Amino acid sequence: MNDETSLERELLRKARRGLSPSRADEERVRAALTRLVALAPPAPSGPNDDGAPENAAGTQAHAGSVAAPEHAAGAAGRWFSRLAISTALVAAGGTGYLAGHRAGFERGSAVSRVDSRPAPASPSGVPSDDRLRSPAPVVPPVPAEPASPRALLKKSSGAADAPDLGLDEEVRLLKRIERALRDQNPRYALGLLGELERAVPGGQLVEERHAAKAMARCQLAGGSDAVASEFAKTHPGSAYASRVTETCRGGAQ
Amino acid sequence: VSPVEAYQHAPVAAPESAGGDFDAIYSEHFLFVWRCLRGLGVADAALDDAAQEVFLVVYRRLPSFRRESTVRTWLYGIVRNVAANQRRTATRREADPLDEALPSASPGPEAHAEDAEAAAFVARFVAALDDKRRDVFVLGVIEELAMPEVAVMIGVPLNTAYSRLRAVRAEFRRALEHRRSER
Repeated sequence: MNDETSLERELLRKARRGLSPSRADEERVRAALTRLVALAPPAPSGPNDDGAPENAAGTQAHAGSVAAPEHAAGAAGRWFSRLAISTALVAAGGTGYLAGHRAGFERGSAVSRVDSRPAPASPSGVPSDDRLRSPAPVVPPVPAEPASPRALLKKSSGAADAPDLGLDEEVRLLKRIERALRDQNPRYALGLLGELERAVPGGQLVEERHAAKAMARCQLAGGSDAVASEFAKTHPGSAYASRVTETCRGGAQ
Repeated sequence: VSPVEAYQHAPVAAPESAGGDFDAIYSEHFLFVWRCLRGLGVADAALDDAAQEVFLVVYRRLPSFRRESTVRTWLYGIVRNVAANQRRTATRREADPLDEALPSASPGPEAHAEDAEAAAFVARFVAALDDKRRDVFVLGVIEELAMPEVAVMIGVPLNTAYSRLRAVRAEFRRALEHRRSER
């Protein structure tokens, strides 16, 4: 059907250009895909194989040509562990982030543990895993918070292990978000935050999400005191306040 | 619908390209995937993630291609699931105190202001459409695909596809006239 008016045709031509990705978009997504394939844990062979789409490393048997550092996948699979909830995700500047004070969420444990297993090399060259294994800043452990009505609802209506799976997913995505922030890729971090919200709506690590979002926004905007203030107002006394402030003041980490 | 479900429900079909090479599919169809995601209402901030999700599904499912449809048809099924999932989540997402000041992912420096404005107008128009007309508009008008292919991609008879195209074009024209009269 070719009954476009010239006005229509012109507008659509511009709109197509406006909707199209740039070369940078294409390269950024390609790089992220490469990292995902390299870092995601090998998919188990059972029915859970298809997990979240980002668990695509399980398709390594396929001869697709997405580059995947050979050394990374196995270690990364171990790295994304259940214990990871108490592993500190650490800022590039060395400031604690997502510190172990959240350990109380892990089946009532108030002990902040640090993942001591071998970690993979960072795809970006950042010695991320040294940082990840660094002792978290000393933060007094807090007792497990009472479950929110939402969490209770999930527990009562879902499968018995659903809350743990949700928490695992939440931690796993937060780690990816942390990597994106370290890589100075705030758009990707924001995209992952959207993914996190879809995968685990609400979730338990709300403060961490807000901190990550604030930092991503500050990276994107080149700094924003308003964002830091908003975070401080929403989470007074947060362990992440200094890192958020630092990022928002400098516009980068 | 979770990303997992979106993945599980993604149709498994076949690329026409021999070998089904992932890189080739990525290079050839990235523009199509990206533009369709935007056309189908995926927010700018979620675009990277949505595009990754699409191609991760492709990556996983490539070995099971059955070569029964074109790559584009297969991709569009995945894109549609991912976009629908994203839209539903965006709709039901609770207000986040940090969302207000969230800078939108503005068009890159390459994007001309007029292009961005036209894209925004089209995106608003598409957002107001129902699923049936949205599909036809995105594929038939924005992507300029031939109606026989569109009909196959969305699984309707050719006449139905044409009928929807006529209706949505008329609607678009009215929106365009309205926009012009307001200037």
